[in-house]
Amino acid sequence: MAVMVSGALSLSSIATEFGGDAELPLSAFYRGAGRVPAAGAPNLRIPANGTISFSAFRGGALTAVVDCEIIGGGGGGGHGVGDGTASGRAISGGATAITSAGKQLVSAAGGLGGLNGQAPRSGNNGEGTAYGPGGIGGNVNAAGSSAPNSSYGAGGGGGGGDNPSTYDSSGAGGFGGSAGTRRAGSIQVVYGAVLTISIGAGGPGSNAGYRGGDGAAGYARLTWDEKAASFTASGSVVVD
Amino acid sequence: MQFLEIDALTGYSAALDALTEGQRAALVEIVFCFRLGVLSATAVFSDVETLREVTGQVPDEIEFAVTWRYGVDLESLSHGQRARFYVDGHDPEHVLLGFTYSPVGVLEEWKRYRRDPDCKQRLLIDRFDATGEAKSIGEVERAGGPDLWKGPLDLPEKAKQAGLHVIYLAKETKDQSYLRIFQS
Repeated sequence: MAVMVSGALSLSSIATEFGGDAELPLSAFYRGAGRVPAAGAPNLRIPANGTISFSAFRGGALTAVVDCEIIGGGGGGGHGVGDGTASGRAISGGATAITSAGKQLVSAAGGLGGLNGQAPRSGNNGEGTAYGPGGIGGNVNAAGSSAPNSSYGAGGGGGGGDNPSTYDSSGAGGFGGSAGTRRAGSIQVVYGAVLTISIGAGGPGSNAGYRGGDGAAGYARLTWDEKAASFTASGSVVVD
Repeated sequence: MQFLEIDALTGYSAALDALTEGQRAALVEIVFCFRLGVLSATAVFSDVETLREVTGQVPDEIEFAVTWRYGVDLESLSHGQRARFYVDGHDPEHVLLGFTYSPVGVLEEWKRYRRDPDCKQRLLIDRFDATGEAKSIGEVERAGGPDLWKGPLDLPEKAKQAGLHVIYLAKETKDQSYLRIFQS
């Protein structure tokens, strides 16, 4: 909670926000001197040295509220088979996570890989997300499509199966991959903190028979104050 | 998978028509064979008990086969005929195994239907005597269009009109053609 922007302001309310106690002199709260973060738009009016006044602290804050929208990678599509059915499933998508100083603040699981050779003759489509559709399931004797890159977290399409051609059996298609989990919420971090964003990879389609399509990688978007950062690949950002 | 429209196929095989309602319900496919001008029907079941009910007794090669399909040429069960049985192959390369028994139930010959790695529509048939000695290798049977079928022309039409799936096959060097019919 930021320092109040109106009304009577006391040293204790400043100390409550930034740490310390009301016995400290106001000069203990210079910006960047240990208690008040050097970064953060609400703190830019607080001087780093020289004359300091109570009014400079109005709206100042130790932490930023960062709104997050994250999604894990989509699961890969299961493969189809020429005859009968198959077992197992494609590899699941990776989790997308936000960490700071080695501590995980929030994460979203990747989608489950699709089952191999258990679907009707054509492969099933991968599960879509708020960002776009999943990969299209393969027709008979065809591989499934990968989820479009812009369909963050969507599952890959299942590979197609096979019609009988002589005395053989029909072959089952693969199930599409599931979508990654999508989470939206907010986290509080100290201004100046470095957030590390790990984007979950899309699960690769099962590579056998009629191959399943790959799931799409995850995504993260962070907004705080009037700033924003989007991630389609792993990276980091300073909350300043 | 059961035949819902098997009545459409009556009148072509007396032995097929003679199956009980329960046996007909247990059918998973039918393979008609037109061999040297004679039509016969192979009934394919998914369980050995129904097969036993139809044939009376089941040879060991069939009884203990690892298979999900049990086929028998119904006309071959007539008195004095050589009975023909079929089961699934034991590995992905072999689609089918066929066994022929003497009228007194002794194994005379068996054959395996190999996939042709170069052509999905072709099978290569290897024949062996009861001791496993090869008699012939690589006889070609292939799937194709309706022109392969030399038997009653209305039979595949009736099957298709009944919503059944039809695959046409024929031996390349013999006057033998086949209609594999199953639920779509």
